[in-house]
Amino acid sequence: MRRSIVRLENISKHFSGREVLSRINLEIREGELLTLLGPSGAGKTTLMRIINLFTKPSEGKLYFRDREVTRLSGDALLEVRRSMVMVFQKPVMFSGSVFDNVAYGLRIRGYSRAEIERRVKEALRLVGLEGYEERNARTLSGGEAQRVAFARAVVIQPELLLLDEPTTSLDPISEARVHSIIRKIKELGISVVLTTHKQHEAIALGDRVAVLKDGKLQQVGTPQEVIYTPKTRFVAEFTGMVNIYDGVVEEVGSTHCTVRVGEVALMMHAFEASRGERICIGIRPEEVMLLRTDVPLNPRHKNVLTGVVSEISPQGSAMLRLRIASGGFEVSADVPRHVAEKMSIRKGGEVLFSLKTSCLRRLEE
Amino acid sequence: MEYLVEGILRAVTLILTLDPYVISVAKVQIIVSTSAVILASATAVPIAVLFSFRNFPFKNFLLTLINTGMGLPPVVVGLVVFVFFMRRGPLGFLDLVYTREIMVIAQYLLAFPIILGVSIAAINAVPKSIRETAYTLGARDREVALVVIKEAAFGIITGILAGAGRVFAEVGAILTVGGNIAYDIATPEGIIHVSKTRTLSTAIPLETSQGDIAAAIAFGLILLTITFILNLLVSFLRRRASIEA
Repeated sequence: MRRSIVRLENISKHFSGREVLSRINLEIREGELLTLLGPSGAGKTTLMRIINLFTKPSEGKLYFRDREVTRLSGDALLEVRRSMVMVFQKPVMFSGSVFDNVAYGLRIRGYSRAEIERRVKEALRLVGLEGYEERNARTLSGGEAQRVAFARAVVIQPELLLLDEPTTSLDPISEARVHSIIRKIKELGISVVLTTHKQHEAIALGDRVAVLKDGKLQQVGTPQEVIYTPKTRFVAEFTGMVNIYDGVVEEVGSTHCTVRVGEVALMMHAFEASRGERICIGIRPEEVMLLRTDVPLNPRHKNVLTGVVSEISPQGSAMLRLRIASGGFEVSADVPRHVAEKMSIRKGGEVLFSLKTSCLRRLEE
Repeated sequence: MEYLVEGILRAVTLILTLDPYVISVAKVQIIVSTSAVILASATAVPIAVLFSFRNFPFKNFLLTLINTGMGLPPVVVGLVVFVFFMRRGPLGFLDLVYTREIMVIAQYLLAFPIILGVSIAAINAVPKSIRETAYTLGARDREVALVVIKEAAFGIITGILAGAGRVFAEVGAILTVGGNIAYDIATPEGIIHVSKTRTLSTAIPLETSQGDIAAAIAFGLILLTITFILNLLVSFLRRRASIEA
């Protein structure tokens, strides 16, 4: 396991009686890119500001490289602060040239002129703004200013880079460019925490994803884990698990459990529960498997149902999302366009589908 | 009308021939008022930074006082300073009445609240995100303050120029504490008049009342030139500041 850079232990933060963060336990590891995913108002920025030592937590402890830094002051605080840097959602430029802006952190650290010039040049190349040194920083476009802000942060060679919603106000092309810059920064060995409310971004960039809602950490895990084994209903909804049902445990076996959702009894992998318990389960739309009707049914398929396609809508450019009604039980299924065509799926048509036992997951409320 | 034209012509002659009396009066004005502005700036700007960066009790009350101070009648300031420094006053032992030093003190008190008030407003107008950016990039408090002062520079300089405008234009304070004194000295060329505590602004009413319109106009022209240059600088900086923003 990689060494931890920052560790939060039971961190809470209240603002005038309102709890913004509640008992956060989180570790940021050396060299990783952790994305902090959550809707606006979830407490992402507050968490970043606590890590960057802008704000003191109301409760809990913050460790930097295994040293408690919650209540540092003076030179000890400065030393820790200087190991990390945050890029704000809306970066501001200091008046002066691009060079002055990027050089700032190096100047206050007392680097030599030659070293500053070398590093600024390198940082500007990293963000694709070579030759911009003499430009007036206040005349840059929003996207350029953002990239200068990245250069200004990376030039310090921090151990930890905090990016607060770096793509929120960008168009998709600028967003893609920022993503590629972030990947390059990661290759330099800098650990990164990035906040976002876009699940696709959290998943595309993160080595691990931490999902935050109402100041509480819902789940921390690899993108794979967060997408396919969401722990809570919120994580499931937020990461696109559109099929979520309330059900009642009907049978608890050693290998399988059965859960009743309306008129349908679904078989799932075994979990700890008692009969009659009300639980929440879900399945991702791309895990709903459409079965061919022109060949005999394979007995290994479980939870096989027939239904009627009530709606077809495009999902991205290559997929279609089918809304299927099987009596009172409804499910959304994503299928590639060419598959839908081959199976001649149409609105009002009948389909056979299966919900794999391993794909049905229990969710906490 | 003739006397006016004649007066202006004689005034211009006095200035161009560097008349010793006119020059000495202008010198006293420039030395006193510039010293007051420099001292007021050197103290007001750091205090303005403290005001914007720190919270302390009675801050709002103090701000109100500062704003009141910006509009103090100069003659009242002169009176208060005089009372403090007169022979029987608490600071009488310093023996400063009717000296240039006390004139600097009086003008300092006039310039200080303006420079302080305008500087606080200029520093408060710097977005919080500028401070936070400097902070996250690893700046110490002192370095954050420097960044903020740099961002507020146009506003602060505008405040300094406004302070200068006030002290160059006022009569009441320096007249009350300085006494508007000039004396005669004998030179091989004859007796000449030299200013001790007489300034451009205090000399004008005196010369006018004594009927030396030409000298009054000469002083007026020099004073007008100084305030014109100050205002030119202010409007230039305003333009620069609005381009920057």
